[in-house]
Amino acid sequence: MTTRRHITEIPDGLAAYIKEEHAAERDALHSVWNLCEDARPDYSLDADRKAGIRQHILAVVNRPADRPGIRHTLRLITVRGYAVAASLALLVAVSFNLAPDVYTVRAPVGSGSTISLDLPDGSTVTLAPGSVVSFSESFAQTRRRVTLKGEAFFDVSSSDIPFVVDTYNARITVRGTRFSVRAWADDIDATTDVRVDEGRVSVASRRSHDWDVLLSAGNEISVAGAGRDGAESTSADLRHAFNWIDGGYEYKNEPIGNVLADLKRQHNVLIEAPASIMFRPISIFNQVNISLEEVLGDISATVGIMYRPISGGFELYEK
Amino acid sequence: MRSITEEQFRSWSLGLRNSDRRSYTALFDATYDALHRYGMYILQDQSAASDILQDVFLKLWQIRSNIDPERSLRALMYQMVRNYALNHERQRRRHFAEELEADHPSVGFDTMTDERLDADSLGKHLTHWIEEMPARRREAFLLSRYEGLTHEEIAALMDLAPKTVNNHIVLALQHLRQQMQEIEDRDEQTP
Repeated sequence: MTTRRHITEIPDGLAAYIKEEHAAERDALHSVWNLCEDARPDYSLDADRKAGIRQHILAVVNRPADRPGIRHTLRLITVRGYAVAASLALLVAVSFNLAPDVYTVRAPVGSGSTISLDLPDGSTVTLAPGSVVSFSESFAQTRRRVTLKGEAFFDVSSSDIPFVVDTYNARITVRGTRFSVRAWADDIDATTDVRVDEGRVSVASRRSHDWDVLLSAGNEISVAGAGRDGAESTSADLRHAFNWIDGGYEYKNEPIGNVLADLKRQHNVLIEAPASIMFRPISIFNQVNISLEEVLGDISATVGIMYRPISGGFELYEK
Repeated sequence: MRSITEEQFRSWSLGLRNSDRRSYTALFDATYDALHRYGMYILQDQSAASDILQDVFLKLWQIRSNIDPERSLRALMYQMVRNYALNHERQRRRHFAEELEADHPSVGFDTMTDERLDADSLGKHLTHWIEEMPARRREAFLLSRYEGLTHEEIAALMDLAPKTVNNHIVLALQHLRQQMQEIEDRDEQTP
């Protein structure tokens, strides 16, 4: 017999409800209620995960500047807000969850805002909502290397030490320049997209060591999952490529599903759409920050679909 | 979580409104396990339940200035877990329908139907029959039976009439009783 922990008495409301039943039925239901003590869910909690979450959320609560271990490394975290107050800087998650000497900074989802981070070498990283950047405590001492999941704009200070950005499938190496990287591994037709605003950037595949591309200002490249086969370097009109930093956007031939994924990270809402819409490419841009509904309206008008509010968010559907 | 008084929750609400980290930490320590269990009731996935708990607690800090101490923080937290879990479930179903099928294959229970309904196997049977219930009935039953929420609290959480909650729980108990009866009848016919 399973050891009984505690039997919760049948609730008064339920007892009153079944009072009308025949005595035998009533007793049977009481009996089943009691026997269910032997089926009490016994989900073994992952104590390490719980401890990790506790550490993570407390890192958010504790302002980085208040933490001695962080202060010397993260000199400044500011919100480049277009929809929120500066107090949201508190929401930037800074933790040590990769290894004891690795800092991880995650831009909050749903804040509708990018965050800017000053690195110890004077370089600046601007993160899109939901994006994560990690770097070692020894950053800038012997090397300058960060790992990126998501989308970021880098303004890298000049130095003899190369500045390296690793994504899930690409490595970008620079010395002093301005460029953006978009690398959401779960995007539809996922690629690492690099766009150079100023200077020169070397882009290589992390999965194939036999090629790299030198990219100059005004050029962009997409590194597909497998590397070179999908990599395309093109001279591009980048006038709107960095609109997202100030709340705008630009998508060129991008699956709508990827656009919606960005919107969900920015606004933390549900956005439903059938596969026929998710995989449809769209080219669209906007220089200024507009509301979620206005963006959905733009998308709908551009590709001839409709949208409507649903519980918890919005739904895109075919006309 | 049932053992925590509303007064304590109210105290934490006031603390959160004042950005008191100790209140936030105490709230996490006191409620995480129960909320994680509730996440599991809906998601049946340890990792996903942990993920949404992290999001819930981060969100709670984000909205702390809007928390009304006169309204139940306990109810708010259950509601947040429910919203995040259902949202997660919807997205998972849409994007990973096939993987979901592979991750949660329907476990055959035939091997157990041959067993007699002795005390040792009863708990396993009941667990399986509870898992088989329709999602909302299961959720109402688990919250009532194992988390001690009142029917009014469950009704508010699940956006149901209290009478509907009663119906769900009575149907759940009747279902369990019928399943037990079937095995007992089979046992009697077995020499």
